[in-house]
Order: sequence, then C-alpha cells, then structure tokens
Amino acid sequence: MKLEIKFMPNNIETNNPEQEKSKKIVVFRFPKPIWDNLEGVDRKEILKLQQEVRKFLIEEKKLNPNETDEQKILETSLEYLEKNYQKEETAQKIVFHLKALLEADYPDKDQENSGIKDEILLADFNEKYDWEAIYEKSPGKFFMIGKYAPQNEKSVEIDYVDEEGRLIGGFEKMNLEDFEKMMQKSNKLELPIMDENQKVETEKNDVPLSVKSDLVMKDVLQEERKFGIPSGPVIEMDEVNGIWEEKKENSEIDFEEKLRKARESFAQARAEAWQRLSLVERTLGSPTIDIDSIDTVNEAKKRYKRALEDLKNYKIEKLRDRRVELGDEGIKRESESLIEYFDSLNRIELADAIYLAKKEVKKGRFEELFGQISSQVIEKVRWYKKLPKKYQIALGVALLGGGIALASTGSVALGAGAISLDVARRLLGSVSAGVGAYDLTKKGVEWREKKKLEKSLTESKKEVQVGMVEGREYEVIERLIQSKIDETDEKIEKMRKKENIAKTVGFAIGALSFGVGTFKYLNQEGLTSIKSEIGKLFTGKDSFSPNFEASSVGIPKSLLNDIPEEIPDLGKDIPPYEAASEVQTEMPALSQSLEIKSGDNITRSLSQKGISGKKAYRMILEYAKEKGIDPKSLDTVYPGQKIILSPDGTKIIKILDSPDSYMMKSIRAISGENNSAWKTVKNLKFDELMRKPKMFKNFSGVLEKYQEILGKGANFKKDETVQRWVARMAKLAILKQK
Amino acid sequence: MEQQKKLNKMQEELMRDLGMDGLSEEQQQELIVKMTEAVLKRIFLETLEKLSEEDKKTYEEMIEKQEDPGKLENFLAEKIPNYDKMVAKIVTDFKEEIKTDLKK
Repeated sequence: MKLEIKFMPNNIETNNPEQEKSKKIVVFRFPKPIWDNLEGVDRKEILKLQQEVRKFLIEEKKLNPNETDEQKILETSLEYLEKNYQKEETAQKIVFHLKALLEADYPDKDQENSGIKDEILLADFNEKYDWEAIYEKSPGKFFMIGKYAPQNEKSVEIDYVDEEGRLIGGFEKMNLEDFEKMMQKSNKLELPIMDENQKVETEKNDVPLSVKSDLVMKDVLQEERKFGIPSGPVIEMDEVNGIWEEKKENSEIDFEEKLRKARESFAQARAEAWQRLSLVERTLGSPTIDIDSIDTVNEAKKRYKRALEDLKNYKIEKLRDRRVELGDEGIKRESESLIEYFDSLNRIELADAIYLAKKEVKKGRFEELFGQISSQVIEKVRWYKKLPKKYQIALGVALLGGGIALASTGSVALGAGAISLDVARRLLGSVSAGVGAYDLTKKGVEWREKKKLEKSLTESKKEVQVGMVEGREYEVIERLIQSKIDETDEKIEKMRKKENIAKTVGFAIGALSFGVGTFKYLNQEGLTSIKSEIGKLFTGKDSFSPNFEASSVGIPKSLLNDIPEEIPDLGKDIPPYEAASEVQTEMPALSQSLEIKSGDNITRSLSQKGISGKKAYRMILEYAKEKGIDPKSLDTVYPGQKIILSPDGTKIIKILDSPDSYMMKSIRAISGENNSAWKTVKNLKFDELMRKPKMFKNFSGVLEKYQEILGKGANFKKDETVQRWVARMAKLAILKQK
Repeated sequence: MEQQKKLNKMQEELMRDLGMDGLSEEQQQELIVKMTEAVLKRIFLETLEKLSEEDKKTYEEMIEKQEDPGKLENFLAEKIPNYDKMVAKIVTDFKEEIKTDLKK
C-alpha cells in the first residue's frame, strides 16, 4: 500500500507514526543551507532558536502545508527572529541566511531545477518508518524525514513523481547520472558565505553532495536528542475534518489503548476457539488440537504482538528523546523497567484478559458480556488508570489490603469473605519468624519458572549496563524487548497449560523478586488502628472524582467515601530499594555479605562477625577445597571485595571481586609482580606492548581470562593504553559479575 | 504524616500478606496497580451479573446521570443481597489465588 503525501516545503517534515491515513504530522526545521553555512556556530543555540520559531509558527497557524508556502513560512520565521532576537549573534546569522534564501527566490528556483513535482510517495507505509533511515535515503533536500522507519531495514525508499508523472525510485534505484545532475542544479544557489573549499573537497571525495548534505541534516536531528531538545511541538492534521492543531501528548495512551484492544481481541478469539474446541473434545474425545494454531486466534495473536512492538518502539523513542533529562542512571532505570514490563507485567494483563474471556465463555454469556459489556468494563475501569499514581496505589491498598487490616482487628465489617483473624495471625507470625517470600516461593514447581525469569531479567539488566558502557544502549534495549515479544508464543503456551491469573502473577512476582526479603520493617504496631484510619484517609473532596467512578464499578462506599485531594507521597518512609545490580541473585536471600576493608585480610574481616581466627581459618580451608584453589591464593585480598557467608554465618559461599581487586590482579599478572616493570608498560599501546615479549606473554594470559568473561569486549581498543585497558576490563568484569 | 505512615503500613502488610515484601517499592506499587485493575474488572462484572436486565438499565442510567456515589451504593446494596460481602469475597478470593500460587 502506498500513502500519498502532498509536497511539503523542504523545511517541513512529515511522518505518520500511527499509520492512520487521516493523520499527518509536520514539524519545522531551518532549511538545510542554513545548517550547511553555520558551521562553528553553537548548534545547541541554533536548535533552541529553531524550537522557538516552531512554537511561534504553530501559534500563528503557519504550519499548514495545505494553505501556506515556504516563502511565507520563512518570512514569518525571519520576522519573528528579527523582532525578538535582535541582539543575539546566532539569531542574526540565521536571519542573514534566511534573507539570502528569500532573496534568491529559493523555493521556486530549486523546485524547478530539481524537476520535482508536488507529490511524494512513501513506499509501503504499512511498515514503521525511522527518520534516520528515510533521511539517509532521501535523494534531495526537498524530501521529508519520517520519524518511524523500520530501524533495521535498509531497503526503505522514498519515491517521487517526476515532471512526466512517472514514479521515480528512491536513492538506490535512481539513475545516478540523473540524480547527480539534479543535485548539481539544486546546489547552484549562490549563498553568501558558501565555503568553496569545502564544496571542492566534497566533490573531490566523490561523495554525492546530497548525501553530504543529508548527513549534515541528520547530524542536526541527532544533536537535538543529544541536547535533549524534543523534536516537537508538532501539529497534526485530521484530514477528514481538515483541522490542523498541535499534536496532543497522548501518544502513549494511544499505543496502550491499541495494545489493550489487540489483547482483548486476542483473548476473545482464543476464548471462542476454546469454547468450540471444548465442545469438539467433549464430543469426539480428541483433545489434541492446538488452540493457537487456529487461524482467527493466530491472526489475533499477530495483531497483539504487533501492538506490543508498536508500544515498544514508542517507548524506546521516548527514551531517546529523554536522554539528556534522564542521564545514565535514569536511562538505566527506565530501560530496566521497560524490560520488566515486557517480560512480566504485560503477561498479567494478557492472562487477566484471557481469564475474563474464558470465564464468560464458560458461563455461556460471552456474546452478552464481551459483545456489549466488555467495553463497559474497560470504560468503567479506565478512570482508575487515569488517576494519579498515588491515588491508584492508595485505592489499591485500601481495596486489596482491607481484608488483612480488618482481620487483624477481628472486625467483620467487610463480611465473612475477609481473611480470618487466624489466617492473618498465622501469616504475620510466619513472617515475623523469618519465613518470607524467598522461602515461600522457592517451594514448588513454579520456583523453577520464577528462577528462570529472574535469571533472564538479571541477564538483560547486565546487557543493558554493558551496552551503556559501550554506547549502544538503545540497540541492546530494543533487541532485548524484541526477544521478550518474540517469546510471546512460548509464554502463551505456558498460560495454556496453567490458565489462571494468579499463577501468572506468581511468575511476575518471581521475576521481579530481585530485592531480598529481609523483613526488617516488620511492624505490627498500628495495624489495629488501620481500620479507623481508612475512614480518615478517604475523606474530603477530590477534583478527579474517583469516588464516583469507583462507585460506578461497584466499590462499596465503606471503602471509598471521598478520596482526599492530598494523599501523602507513598513510600517515603520505605528504605531505598537495593538495586538489582547490587544483589547477587545466585546467593540465598538471607546470606550475609562482608566487605573487606583496607588493610584487612579474610580472617580479620571475619573477626568483625565475631568469628574466631581458628574458625575463620577452617572456613577458608573449606572454601578453598570446595572451589579447588590453593588456600594461599586467598592470602591476598583487596579492599572492596566481598565475602558472602551462608545465612547462619558458618560458611564462606563466595568471595566477590571488586574493581580494585580485578585491576590489581591484572597488574600483578602482567608485570610479574614487579612495580618497575609495570611502570614501563602501563602507558604502552597494544602494538608497543607486543614488542616486549615477556610482558606480552603475561598480558596474553590476562587477556584470555577476560575474554572468557567478556568475549570480544575484552579486545584492545584503538590507541588504548595498557593501564586504561586494565581499568576498562575491571569495570566491565564487575558489571558482568553482577 | 500520620496518614502517610498508616498507608505505608497498610501497604507493607498487604505486600507481606501476599508474599511480595521482597520487592522494591516501585515494583510493589506497580503490582498493586495491576492487581487493583484486575479486581475492579471482576467486581464490575460480578455486579452486572447479579443485576436483572431492568436493574442493569437503571444502574447504567444512574451512572450516566453521575448520581451521588451513596445513591449508587444504596441501589446496589438493595438489589444485590450481601453486596459488601460479595465485593469482599472477590477481593479475598483474588488474594488467596495469588497466595496459594506463591506457596506451591
């Protein structure tokens, strides 16, 4: 399918992220000749000014390709900059070039020279388009930049219609001679400070001018992200109504809504098929048909996976946009949460949809409930999703936590269905006795599943961390999430076998159980007063009216009444979460960790735990024997290393390296424990090191060890010194260890 | 501050009750939100199921008119015997499903 897009002036870009024919999006950028001629100028300043001009153009309603022309847009931009940025040097430079462009009658001349008519066709708009890919393939500066190209497909092409109305292929398909002629013509503009040397050099390099020019523009776009300048605001046109307006910030909701619909539709198709199959099975006794192989189910599943991918693309795109705002730590945190969502939480949603669909089919009320009422259910619950997070949590805690709170007071206000006092006491008692999530969840078959998911998530997080060090975090995040989506079939198969929401929640909990249950905040005090506090908590008025909405789905007033305007921030008193990366997941949850301090050895460190020297020595011997290492090798330890002890503190389970220990071990091995030798090699590069046979041999041994851990990541980088390599290896090895 | 502490304690107890207290604060909150959504859907479905066609229509009209929450609740309590208990049972059944699953 081809989507026709009207010609846009070269400083307006368009894309269609939602793949809806009736929507187009435009954003404004300064014409490329301006960028080409502003080398050396602070690019961030240019980007900021561009952003300001965009805002103004939108306010002035000038960004409407159906009604305006480039001349007017440029004139308005010029007017705005002249009026508001008279004293700013960068703005004045832009003004200078804008004037030059306008005086050269730039748009008409260029359009005429290039032979481009007023139409552009984007090939196969069913796919998602990425601005980089499209721009790279873009044959002329008149062409547009799509924001959502397939990120891994190089075959994306932009076609255009020539003067005779023929459809001309994209960059690769074009006749190169024609293309170069066209580009030569379009570069004949006599711009005031055109750098002739650069122009000649470009031609000498035999690089098509357009490519060079495109790359310049591409750099500009990348810089926007680098500086954290969002590519919007954008305006969006509803072609049906012919209305252009600023695009609303609801894309995330849109994508989530699409995912929800796809999920519901998949659940519905599956439930219907399940019902038919059940009948066949009951009648014929043939239970071997695979529900997911039925066409309607399979198609619905594909749509569901596509919706997951769309959401993934959107989320990653947003993550890119927020690079500067979030910083390294923020990106790490957000990406981990994304991976967790795609690996576990979205499964709760799918399982829930399947559960509800199946439940209604069983009752024989599928048509009624899912034909008519399903939408009501969603509508009725949507208010909850729109509430600010703190309200959602407060309501959830009140609703879900009511049982135990009341049970512990012995109250039956919520009825006989509430957890009995006895059960509550037993649970609390078991928790206070130190039996927690770890012990509970490790029992049973599902423990294996949970461990698998934990492991998978831990591995993913490590990969993201390594990706960040290597500067390719988005590539890693994209690949990891895609692999989770690709695993959908496998996950659904598991659900097929164990279809109920609780089990899936169980898996998700397992997957999320990175934090170790320590129960140190166990506190029964106050439980008895919670019941009365529920009343106090939910009193007062609220502008979101969640009380009404909640009542509409049938939540008793006794739980809600009115939700106050100000619910205090939740979790302030909760201690900070121990980051997953800091937790050795292979260790039992209640194991103890002991850090080796400067000047200490293992024995001295163990004495801090009240372990006598004799006992410590026995523990060291036992550990060395178990690991098959020479006990003497444990004489040398480094600050920051951690001794992991068994929960009862009687056994060393593992001694973890620190960056220092990795570095020191490497240095000692390379130098043969000779400080002077180290001084002679530490600043050498790889090729220089090769000329020192003994040291190079030592180095090779260390390199091999790191290669075992890090693979190709252990290889020397260009111009890296031995010292820097050692430091980098230590950092990467620690990340890998975690 | 007092409210915050109480709410935190409630959340702690809930998480402990469900065997989720080893999770980070953010993860706990995320699961609370997801579970609440699931429970709300069940409550609404169960409520509709228990209403007659005529009552269902009246209920929808009341929602359309944005009637007072108290009136809505009285209506449901009047039409559905032991309405509070029904809701409480849905909640506890849901929690029990999770706990049972975790203990396996």
